[in-house]
Amino acid sequence: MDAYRDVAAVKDDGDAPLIGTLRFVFVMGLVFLAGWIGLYLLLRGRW
Amino acid sequence: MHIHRYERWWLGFGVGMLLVFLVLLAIAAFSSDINPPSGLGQIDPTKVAQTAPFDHPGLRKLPNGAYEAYYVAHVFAFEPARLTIPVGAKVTFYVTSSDVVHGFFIPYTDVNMMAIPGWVNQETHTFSTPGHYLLICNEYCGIGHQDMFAKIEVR
Amino acid sequence: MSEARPSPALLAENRLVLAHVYMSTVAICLGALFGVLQGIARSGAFTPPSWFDYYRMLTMHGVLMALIFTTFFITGIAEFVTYRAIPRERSLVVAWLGWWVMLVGTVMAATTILDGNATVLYTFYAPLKASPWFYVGATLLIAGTWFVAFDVFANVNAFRRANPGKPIPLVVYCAAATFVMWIVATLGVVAEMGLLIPWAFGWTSGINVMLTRMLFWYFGHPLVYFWIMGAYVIWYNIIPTLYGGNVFSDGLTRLTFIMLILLSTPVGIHHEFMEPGIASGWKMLFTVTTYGVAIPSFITAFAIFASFELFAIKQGRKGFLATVRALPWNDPTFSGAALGMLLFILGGFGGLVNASYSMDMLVHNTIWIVGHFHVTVGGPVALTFLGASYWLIPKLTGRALWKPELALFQTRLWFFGMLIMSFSMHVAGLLGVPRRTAAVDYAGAAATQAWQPYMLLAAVGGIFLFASIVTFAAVAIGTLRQNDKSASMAVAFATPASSTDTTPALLQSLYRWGLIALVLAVVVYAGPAGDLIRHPGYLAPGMRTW
Repeated sequence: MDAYRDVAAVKDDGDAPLIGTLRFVFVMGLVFLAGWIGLYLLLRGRW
Repeated sequence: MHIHRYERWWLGFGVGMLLVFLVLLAIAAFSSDINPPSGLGQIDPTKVAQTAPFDHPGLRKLPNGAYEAYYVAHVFAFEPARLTIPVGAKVTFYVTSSDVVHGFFIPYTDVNMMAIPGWVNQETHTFSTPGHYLLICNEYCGIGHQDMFAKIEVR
Repeated sequence: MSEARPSPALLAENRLVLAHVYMSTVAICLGALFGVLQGIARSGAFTPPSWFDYYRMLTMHGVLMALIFTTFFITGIAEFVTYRAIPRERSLVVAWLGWWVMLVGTVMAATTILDGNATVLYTFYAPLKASPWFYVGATLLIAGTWFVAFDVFANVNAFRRANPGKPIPLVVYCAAATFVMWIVATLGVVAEMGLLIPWAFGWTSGINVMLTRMLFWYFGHPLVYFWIMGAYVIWYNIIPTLYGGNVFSDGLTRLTFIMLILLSTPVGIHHEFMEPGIASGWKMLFTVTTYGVAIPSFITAFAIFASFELFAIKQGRKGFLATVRALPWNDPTFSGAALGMLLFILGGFGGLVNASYSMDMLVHNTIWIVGHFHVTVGGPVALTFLGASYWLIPKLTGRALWKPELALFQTRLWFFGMLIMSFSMHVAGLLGVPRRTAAVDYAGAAATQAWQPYMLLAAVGGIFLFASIVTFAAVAIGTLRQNDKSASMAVAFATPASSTDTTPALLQSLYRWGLIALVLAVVVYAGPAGDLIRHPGYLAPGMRTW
């Protein structure tokens, strides 16, 4: 049974509750999306 | 290898967002003809002054009402230094360089291209707002790079 | 690494890495001096004296920061992590040879620039013709890095022979992957030098301008990923040890570096979107490949914050704010990397815009681009390296970090200065301010009125940055002369969070990905490069316009 001697503190079967990570990456993603669309409209305006 | 389900959501969002960007860029390109300048014409950089149409830089009106403007970029000025364009004119700029690489950029418009010796680049723009436009070289070309500019007036 | 007296071998390895840190520190301090002088000269606050050659200074700033500071630090940190993670009897001859070749190349390039014979900026675009010794020097700098790369590979091969079937230690895998990508990338610039050096010596009369540009940018973009991968080695493997955290996923980390090996090179034409001679279809293709190379950075954003949150969960905290509060923001090394990561969000956004085909028309060759690379390499990578120096110098010398609170202040000052400078450059770029010009007044043309305040703001940011680098130099020198020699030289790199999650063999292989990357790059470049080779057009005579 030694393979399980050093069971990590975080249980591996279920996914860790990374709510903070989820919120961080999605806020960052939405900032990218909104910013890009803004500049896309600026390009259309200068065409 | 286990991939966390939030990670799968995040990468799904990321890839989806990039696809949205590609679709919007394709719409701009194919329906409104918004493309970066990609002129494929070639010209001998040492004989620009003797090669039509760059032997007479300037504006030329086409039968269909559109315009063509021929520019030569060289160390540290543009030919012609001044150009007047009627309001609403749809102008296609043809640009080449007779020495080093220059930039050909009109701020507040999307006319932004490279003038490369040996090549003719082109970009089309409709000047709907009258006023004084500045044309500048935005690619380092030597000691006078910061003074390399020309004027375009739209009226 | 027991705390007994360090072995002579360890001291010898430390001396080698220290030689890299000395060179990178000198480079960034000098580079920052030239940078602040440029910012002030361009602010319009006054007209600089006539002897002030802006473009010679800009060339020095670019070469010192982008080529010398980064290259010496990345080769140094790669050697350090490889030697410490693979303890064995080894010769340092090849590595020292690499250092000396890099030094000779650096001195050669620097002298030609300083005496005004190479005012061609760090991208040295033909047909501007610099002294041939500038090109030879730059080639030697790159050749020197190949020695270091092969030294790292030699240690990887020795590890594999000694431990058949065992995966390479993660930190070494990341460092070695960085160099696998680097070898594939540098083939482009070496090929370009094969055209430039004979031309600069006058053995050939003309130069194919478009071909040299395509070869340069074949190398130029993976060059920036060489910097980013250098920072990622630190983010993934060293930063977690500062807060007692883990690597989020061993397999995903290796996958990220493999994707960077594959996708760093077949993207270079997004630097050439506004150029003639490349058909629009190829440019659209390179927007797609450049979007591809954004994915490993998306994975990294998730993996790094997940490592933070796993640590917070172990402390019994949950959610975004709790995680942020749980992190050691007063540790100078962590502060450098974390503030760098914040800047990199602005950098990532800018990168997506620049890569987006026709949208590049808004920003190409404007100061937006300068703002962009100051929040990719100038901020995130540089600040990560400066922060890492506060961790590395004690490990190399056994001397405790001198005045850690001053080091912490330095990282925050750099972040603050970079935020101001980069923000003003981004806005000014959208207003049309060009890049790489000594001034932006254009005889008082109407369009330039709106530009002035942003140039002033950028100069203010530059002054904060220069104050920050002076602080860094003080802390570095103070540490090197520190008589408190109690710091431990021992190093432990981050271990994966889950000990039961297995990494597939495919993600443990290394060199094959370099070969696949080379094939992928050739396939993607076949179109545009094929057009150029079929229609080479006219050669341009060389010119010296400064």
